[in-house]
Amino acid sequence: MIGHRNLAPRRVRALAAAAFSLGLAGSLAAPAHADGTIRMWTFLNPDGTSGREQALKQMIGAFEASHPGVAVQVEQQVWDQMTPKFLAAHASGSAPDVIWVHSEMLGGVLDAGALGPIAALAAADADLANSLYASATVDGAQYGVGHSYTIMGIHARADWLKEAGIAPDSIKTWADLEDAAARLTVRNGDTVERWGFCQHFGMAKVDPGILLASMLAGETPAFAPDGTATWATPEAVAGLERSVKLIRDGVSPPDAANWNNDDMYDQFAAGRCAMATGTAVRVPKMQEAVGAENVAFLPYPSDDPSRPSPQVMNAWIVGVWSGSEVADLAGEFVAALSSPESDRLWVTVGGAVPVRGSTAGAVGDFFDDPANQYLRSAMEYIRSGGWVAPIGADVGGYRDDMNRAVQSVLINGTDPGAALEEAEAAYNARHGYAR
Amino acid sequence: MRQGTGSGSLTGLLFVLPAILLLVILLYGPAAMSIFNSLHTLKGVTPDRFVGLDNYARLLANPTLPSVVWTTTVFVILATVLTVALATLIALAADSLPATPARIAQIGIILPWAISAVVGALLFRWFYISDLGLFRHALAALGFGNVDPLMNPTTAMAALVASAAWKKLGFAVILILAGLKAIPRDLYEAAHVDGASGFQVFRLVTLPMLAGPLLICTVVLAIADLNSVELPLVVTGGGPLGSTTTVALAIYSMAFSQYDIQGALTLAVLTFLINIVLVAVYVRIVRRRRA
Amino acid sequence: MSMAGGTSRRWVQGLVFLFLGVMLVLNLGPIVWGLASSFTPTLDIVSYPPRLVPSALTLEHYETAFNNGFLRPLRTSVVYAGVTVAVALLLGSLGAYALDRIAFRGRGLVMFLVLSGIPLASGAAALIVPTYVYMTWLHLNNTAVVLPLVYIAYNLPIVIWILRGAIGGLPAELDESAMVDGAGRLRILFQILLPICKPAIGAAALFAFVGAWNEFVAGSVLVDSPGLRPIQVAIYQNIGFFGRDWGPLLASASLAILPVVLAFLVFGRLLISGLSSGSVKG
Repeated sequence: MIGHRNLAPRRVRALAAAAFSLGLAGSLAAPAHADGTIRMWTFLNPDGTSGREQALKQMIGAFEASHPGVAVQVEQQVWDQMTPKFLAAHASGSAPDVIWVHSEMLGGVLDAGALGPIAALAAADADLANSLYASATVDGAQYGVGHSYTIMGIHARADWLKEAGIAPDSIKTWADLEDAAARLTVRNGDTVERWGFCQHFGMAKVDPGILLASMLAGETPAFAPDGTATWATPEAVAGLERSVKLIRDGVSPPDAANWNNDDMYDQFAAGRCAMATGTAVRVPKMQEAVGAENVAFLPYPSDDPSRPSPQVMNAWIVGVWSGSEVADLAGEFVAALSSPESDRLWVTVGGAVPVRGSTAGAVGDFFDDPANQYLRSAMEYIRSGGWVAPIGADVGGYRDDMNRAVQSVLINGTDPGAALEEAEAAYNARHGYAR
Repeated sequence: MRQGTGSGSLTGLLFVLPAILLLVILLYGPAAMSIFNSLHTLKGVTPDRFVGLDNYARLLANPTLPSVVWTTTVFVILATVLTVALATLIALAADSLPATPARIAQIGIILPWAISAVVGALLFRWFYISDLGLFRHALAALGFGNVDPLMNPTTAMAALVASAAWKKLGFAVILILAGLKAIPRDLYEAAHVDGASGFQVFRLVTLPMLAGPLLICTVVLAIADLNSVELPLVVTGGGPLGSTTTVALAIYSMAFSQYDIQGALTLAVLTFLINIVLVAVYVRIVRRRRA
Repeated sequence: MSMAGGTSRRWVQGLVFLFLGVMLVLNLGPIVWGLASSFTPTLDIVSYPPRLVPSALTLEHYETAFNNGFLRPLRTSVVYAGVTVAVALLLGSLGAYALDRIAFRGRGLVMFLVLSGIPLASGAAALIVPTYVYMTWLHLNNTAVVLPLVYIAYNLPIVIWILRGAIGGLPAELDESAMVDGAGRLRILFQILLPICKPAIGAAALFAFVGAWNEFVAGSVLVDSPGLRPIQVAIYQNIGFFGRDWGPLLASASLAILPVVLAFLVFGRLLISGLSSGSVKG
């Protein structure tokens, strides 16, 4: 006889679990959209511990205090999925009222009609105006305002520069950079303990450094207004050769052919690099790892000591969903996030680059503190050299194409001009641009 | 599949109904929607204009596609074979140990599988591949020189395969161990009574009884490797020069690096359809074996 | 009579230990490294040359992880995973039994649907945007049930497949003798067949648990409210726009392994119990 065992409890447990989850559904379902609730998607968490998150929490508190009956509900998202998810939510009619859109995807978002005009922001506001602000202006109406501005530049170890007697703002030409990199490299027998200048060429959206800077400083625009690429210019070839020469001279790591952005920052944090390609917004993390006063932010030099080479700048464009039921209120909130008072909070508490031109003067000697000087450098570089791809053009994937050119020269020994032509052709073909 | 014990077609359908409903509604529904979307152009993420198979034609004309397919094939085969082979050895070894050491060994083996995918990949890269990691430092100290595995397509693929085995070993060991534990002991006793040597026991008793779990393991691992994004993305970045870019990574890059959501969707649907074909082939083979 | 001498056996035993030892070291290297780094101050986590022993120990990263909100997603994921295991096992056993023991019309198609679910579940991340639109259309987005339902669907195929394999290994005589005693199908399944399939159930339960626990993409896309977020999303937020926070990242990831180890201790017990002979007779 087969022994009986009472297994009913397991089934009961399963049913209980199902009932529990349904009960959970009732209690935890998204709250009904009450009047005066503004839903916002961002990568910040107002209950978080970072400076920027604390700044946001203060701004939300101030807004709710001045608008009784209004609640701001923040739903933190994963930053690299947020924009595609927003487009999907727009398509299903369930998007949040306020959204942070990455400036490089703004064109697609505007095309999809997902953002609505913000009455509380003026397109002609001189304090806020710059090329990114202009990219969110459509037919005289303002569809968003940039936050968390950043620009690609050079992270440098201020302490080691000082040791070597190099003033950070003395690096104005390519020759200055090469010279500094050579002097800052530290060798121990056969191994290099500290690289003078670290650059990386991975193919996961890695920002091209010297190559792109050289290209943008050249006479021919790298991208036509419709996005067609022209990369095989003499300046670009010189830039590529410059990049490779640093590696061949033993001043830049050859392994970095495969580093992505995070790897590069790890190397800098580990003290392997005296200087490295880096974006301004990541300086605070580097300060945590190597010391708050030891990180300087430098613009890319050029052949002309009076002007830096242009570099990519981007930001998060904060906008209002076109289908929002509380569009006016949401617009006011976006304007409040960008007010002069809020901007001061973003800068002093959050360590962000100012959004408004007037803020720099208003925060007094905040930028004089060595730990904050990078913000001033970043701000000035954005003004003098901030480059944005032609508005509305689809330039997706250009970074990977450019880095493939560099990898090709490094690994296969391809001729730089040919490599750039190949990259340009691949990019144009993929986008269907004729050349 | 064996003959049912008595009729009961209705009972049978009722038994599978809840499962099938869930699968159809939650898995096949979005898949059908994706296929529909792939036959249109996209505005944002919404289907706009019907274009038939145009998107597929564009995809198949993409010059990087053949190399991506080849890379994926190589990766999946190498990773699956390595993982299953190692897992079988480990399961056999763990099976021969007394309970407590076996438990401890198993926990040690499953930890990489238990940790979240991205963190695991990051740790593998940091520890084994980066020159900031202990492995290369130790190798250099022992006099093997400091070579970056990612500078060379072959070693980069080897590193990727190793990472896949590392991450999935736990799953495979558990599956094969479950299969081992289900082999009735009296079969072993009978074999010993007949005077079979250790190796003969393995070949004539263990292996045939393990055929089922081994097959499940191989198929599931192959499919998992085929679809794994975080390993090629984090461990090798798809390089050098795209030599470790698998289909899954290509889909991710298209969506998040090139902002080509349409292309990514089309490739994803194509991959899924190929997967289905492979599954159908597997089912055919099994049905013929059972018949 | 065993011909193998005592020395030969000990030699083999030694080899087994050596092999397992090497495997464990290779396997655990990165994990131990991560664990040690989670207790290292930020200034020293990434350093060159790499340090075997951390220079100082700190709990700051664990504090940060908690302050950033770790307990809530942890609790949520426990619920999600628990529900997934229970329901997947229940529906999976029913399905597996029918697929193996009952000749019903459309059985082949059902089996094909189940098997094809594996690549669908495995590659679901690539289709997440259509899935999002689809879930919104079903009004399931951002509800407490969407993730458990999705996780059950993702893991049902393998659960069914494993259980069907296990049931398939049991002879039909078991069913027949029970039927002679007047037992119905459900009784046969739950009281006779499944108890003998403990290893398979243990494996299936563990896979369903880990499948639900480690899932990231659906968890970040299909829900928005902080109260519904699973643990992986909380961990992933440490790889933010402003940089990779190794300390809190490793701290939260280390904490997140603990429930999986616990699940292994619970379900793994089923794995250890071998099949005793004698159940087939009589």
